Amino acid sequence: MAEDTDRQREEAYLGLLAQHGRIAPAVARLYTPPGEDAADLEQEIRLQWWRSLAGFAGRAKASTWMYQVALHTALTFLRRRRRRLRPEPLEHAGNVADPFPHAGGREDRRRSALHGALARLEPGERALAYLWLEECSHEEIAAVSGISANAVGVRLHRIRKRLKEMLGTGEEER
Amino acid sequence: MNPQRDELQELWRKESTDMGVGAKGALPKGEAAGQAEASRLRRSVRRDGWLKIGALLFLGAALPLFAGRFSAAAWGVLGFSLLAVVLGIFQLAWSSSWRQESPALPLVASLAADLELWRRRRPALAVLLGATPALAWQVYQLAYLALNPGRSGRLVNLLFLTAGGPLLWLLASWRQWARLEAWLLQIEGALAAFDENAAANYLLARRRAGRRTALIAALLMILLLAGTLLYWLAK
Repeated sequence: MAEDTDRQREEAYLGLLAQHGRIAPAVARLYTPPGEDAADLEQEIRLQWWRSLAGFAGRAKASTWMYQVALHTALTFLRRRRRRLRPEPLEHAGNVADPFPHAGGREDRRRSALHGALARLEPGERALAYLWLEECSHEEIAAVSGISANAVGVRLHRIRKRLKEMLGTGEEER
Repeated sequence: MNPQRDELQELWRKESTDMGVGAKGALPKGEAAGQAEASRLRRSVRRDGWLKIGALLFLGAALPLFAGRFSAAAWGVLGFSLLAVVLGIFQLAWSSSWRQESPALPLVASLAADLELWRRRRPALAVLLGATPALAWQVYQLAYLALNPGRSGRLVNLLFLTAGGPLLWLLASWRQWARLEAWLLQIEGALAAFDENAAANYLLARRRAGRRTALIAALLMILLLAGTLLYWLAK
């Protein structure tokens, strides 16, 4: 009986991982300080999914739940790294370098600059920006973050403006 | 291409596709590789608890030295060491009872719940962690006086004994308080991105933590100077 339950849990976990597992490396990369291996945080996110699977019970959309767990785990992970990760003020953000640089052409540099710009956002803002980049609706972002859909709209407007300013500055320099 | 999609979203989507960041179909194997920061704090509290319990080893080694001269100072060594052991056992039991926080809540609710939880634990944790150096100091002072009974009348030794331990406890607890505040600031910092009021509170709390750290550093410097001065006067 217990073995059946374990197997069901395992199958449910692997099914969710197959559908939305890409969230773990993406979030780990977003929240890992430059020069450090993102594998630890990625592993921690998978572990938290596994641990809290019993509490999921399909009450929310699977992707919403997985974003919630992944982002909460990442924000928890950051607590002791505050000083190293404190973003520079916008006016100093001219040279937007990606902590994980891409080699290659113009598009690779643009991706690199996008990661650099994301790294300069406050951790909570970065979570909202990530969900927006993942093309989540305002309602889904509201469900993940716990703020209202209207507030999501206002925050995203500001965040997008900041991202574009940072990327604009970065591109001018090239 | 979705005509509604923003240029940045398009860039992000292409990268996800190119990198093939997909699922690695495996169950998490153990917890050794990835360890949450909250688990690290729990481990540090447990380590500190074991350190306090380690006073038993010290007692075992020191008791033969006190044989035949059970003065008030020797009883003090015994009392403070046993107090350290009791606090260590309490610390281990308490940290074992900390529940695993649920990450499966909306971010703001999870972070606010974390914040509340650590706020409630903070005073007791600061006092418990601050007690370790103070108890070690007190035991050392008493052991010194028990083995050198002739020196218990000196003003500097009396001051170190009566004021040193409590003061060190106070200062170490204050330092731990500031250290734990840094944790709370991190949670508040994340909350600040979601809530305008939290942003203002976060700034105030950061300034407060900075002021306290500076004050602790200044107090320690004054104590160091006072200790040096007393030493020279006693000479």
